[in-house]
Amino acid sequence: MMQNQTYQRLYTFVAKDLLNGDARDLDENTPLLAWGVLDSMAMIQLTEFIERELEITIPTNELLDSANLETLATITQMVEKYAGRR
Amino acid sequence: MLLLSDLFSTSASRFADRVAVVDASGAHTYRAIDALANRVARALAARGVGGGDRVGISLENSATAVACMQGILRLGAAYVPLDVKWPAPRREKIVRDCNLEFVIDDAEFDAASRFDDGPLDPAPAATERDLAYILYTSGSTGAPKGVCIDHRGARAFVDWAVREVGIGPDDRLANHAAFHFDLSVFDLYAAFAAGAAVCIVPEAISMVPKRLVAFAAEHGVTVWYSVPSALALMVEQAGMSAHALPSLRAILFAGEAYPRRALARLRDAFPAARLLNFYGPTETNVCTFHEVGQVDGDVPIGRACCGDEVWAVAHDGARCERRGDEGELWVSGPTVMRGYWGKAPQVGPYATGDLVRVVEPGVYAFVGRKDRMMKVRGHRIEPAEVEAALSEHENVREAAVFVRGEGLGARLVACIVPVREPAPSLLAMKGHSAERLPRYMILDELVVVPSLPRTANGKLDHERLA
Repeated sequence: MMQNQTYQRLYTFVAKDLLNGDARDLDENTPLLAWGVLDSMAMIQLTEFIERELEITIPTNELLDSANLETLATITQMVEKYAGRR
Repeated sequence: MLLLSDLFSTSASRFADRVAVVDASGAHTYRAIDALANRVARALAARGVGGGDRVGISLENSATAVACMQGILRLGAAYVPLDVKWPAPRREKIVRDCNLEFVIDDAEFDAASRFDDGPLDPAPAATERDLAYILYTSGSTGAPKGVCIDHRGARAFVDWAVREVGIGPDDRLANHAAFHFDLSVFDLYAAFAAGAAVCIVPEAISMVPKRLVAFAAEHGVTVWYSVPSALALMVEQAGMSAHALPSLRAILFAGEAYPRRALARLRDAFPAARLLNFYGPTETNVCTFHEVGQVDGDVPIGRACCGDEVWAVAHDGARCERRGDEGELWVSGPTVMRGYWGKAPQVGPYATGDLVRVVEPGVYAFVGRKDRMMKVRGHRIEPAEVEAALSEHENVREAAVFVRGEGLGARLVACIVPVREPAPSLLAMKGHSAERLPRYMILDELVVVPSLPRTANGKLDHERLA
C-alpha cells in the first residue's frame, strides 16, 4: 500500500474533486482513465492541482502521457520522480 | 457513377507520391496505402468476402485502418468501424447484430499484408446504392444500432464539403474523431478527394488540449473539424489562436451547439479563418450548415446543403414557415441513410427528432430534442442504453439517467434504486459501466434514491428526475 504524503494528497484530491466525496472502492490501482474518472476536464483539474497545490513542475508531455495517468499509483510515481528535483 | 472508393483511387493515380495519411507511425503516401488496400482486398477475397458483405475494422485510427476501408470498398463490400477501446460485450453485440462476415484486427492485417499488392482483376463492381459503411450509434432500445450509408449518400456529402470548404492538394486536414463517428468521414474523404493529407491525432493526446494545439502547429494543419467541446478547451486551456496556428484557415464543428460565449472567443482567436457549423444526425450525415460571421447570438444550424431538403413540422402537422415557429426537423435527399441494419429500410424523408426554430425562411436554429436522446460533450447518448447497462448490476433494481449542465460542464447523472443497502459506490458503477459501455457513456455522478419518480400513469417522470 502506498502510504506516503504525496499519495495521500492525490487520493484526497481525486476523492473530493473528481468523485464528489464518494471515495468508496478508491485505491491505488483503480483504473482512473478506463473508468472515466479522468476525462479532459478532470485532467486539467489534476494538472492544476499538481502544479499549484503540490508545487511540482512536470514537463507537459510526461504530465499528460496517458501511461502516467492510469492509476493513483502511476500518478504518484510520476509526481515523486519530479518532487526530488526541487 | 460516383463511388466513395473512387476518391482515394483517383488521387492514388494522380498524386501517388504525395502524403495521404500521417499517423503515429509516420507519413504514408497514396501509393503505399493504395498497395496495402489491394493486399487487404485480395486477402478478404481469398476468404470469400465479396460484394454486399460487411467487414468489421477493429484497429486504432491509422493509415492501416484507412487501407482496410479502401480494400473492403474495392470488393464492393461495406466496412463497419469498431472501436478497439469498446468493452468486449458491446463489440460482440455489434458483431452479432451486423452479422459481420469478418473482422480485421492487427493479426488479420499482418496476415493480409503478405498478399500480392496488384489490383483485383476483374474488380467487383459496386453501385451507388450499395452500402459503403455502417456506423453504430447509441440506440433507444438499449442496444447500439447500425446506420447504413450508401455510396451515393457519402459522396453527396463529401463532394459538397470539398467544394464548400475549397479543399485542395496542399491542405492538411486533422482527424480528431474516432472512425466510428461520422465526423471522420469528412476528415478522410475530403482529403482523399483533393489529394490532400489527413493527419490523425494520436489517441494518447486526443483528450489533452495543449498537446492538440501543439499537434496542429507541428503538422501545419489547415482545416480542423471536431466537436465544439474539444475546440473550446483548445481555445480556453491551451491558447489556440491564429498566432499559434497561422496555417489554420477553416475550423469546422458539429455534434452539439457551440455555446455562444465560447464561440465568440473562438472568433476572437481566429479573426480571419472560416468558421463553419455543420449539422446532421448520423442518419443524414450533414444536411445543413451555417457559416459563422460575427458572433451576435446563438449559432443557427443554418440552411440545407448536399442536395438535401429540410423543413420543420409543427405539432399539428403543418409546416413551420414564419420566423419564430418551432417544430421537428425533417430531411429528404441523397444524404439520408438507407436504414438501420436489420430493420425496415428508410423510405422517404427522415424525421430527426430535433426541434428547431425558423430563424428566417429556410434557416433553422436547434432548440432541443423531441425524445430523451442526450448530448454530452458532442457525444450522442440514448439514456435507454446506459440505463440497461446500469440495471445489469446485481445491486441495482432500476436506473434512470439525465444530463445536468451544458457545454463543457455537462455531466451524466445516474439515479439508481438499489436492491439492498449499502448501495454500490460511484466507482463501482463506473467500473461496471466501463465493462459494458464506451467511455463517454460512463456516469459522472451517482444519486441513490429509494424509488424513481413516476407520473400518474406509472411512466418515469423525467422532469421531476432532473
